[in-house]
Amino acid sequence: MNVNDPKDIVVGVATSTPPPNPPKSETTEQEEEDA
Amino acid sequence: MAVQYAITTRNNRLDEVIADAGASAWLQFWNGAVPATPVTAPAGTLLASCAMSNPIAPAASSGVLTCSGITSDTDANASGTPTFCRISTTETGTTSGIVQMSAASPSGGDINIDQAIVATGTVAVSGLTITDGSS
Repeated sequence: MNVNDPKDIVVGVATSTPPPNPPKSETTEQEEEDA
Repeated sequence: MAVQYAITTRNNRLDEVIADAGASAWLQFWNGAVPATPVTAPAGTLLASCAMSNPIAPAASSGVLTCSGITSDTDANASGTPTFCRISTTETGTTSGIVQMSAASPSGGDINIDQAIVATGTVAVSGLTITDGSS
């Protein structure tokens, strides 16, 4: 790259949102009731 | 001295990006080593792809291209911290990039993301501008 070639400037802003916790399965709920 | 271009020429350079992006373009988020060029297949993993507007931006002004609204990816492909992004003409293609830029979390990249991407999560882009540096 030519040292005299100025760089373009990129400005980007992003956000990441994790997925919600998966719902408890019916089996798990039953196990909790049994306990 | 650095090369200098007139405003009209700078705008034309950026407008060519809009033309090359065409009617369907995505902003891809990748991790791994940054490839040599925008059309070099990455060794890393594609984390997410956000659909860009058609066209991706109005005509450049004052040497700045300001992208129009970018649609969130609500089902990210994989988990990881992005190291680079590409404006690409395909959603998942590895050799269809037009522009390649660095990415980091939470700061230090051309595109900064607040935290790592989580598979099946959402990635939203609130703004993206490219300024031609040849002023």
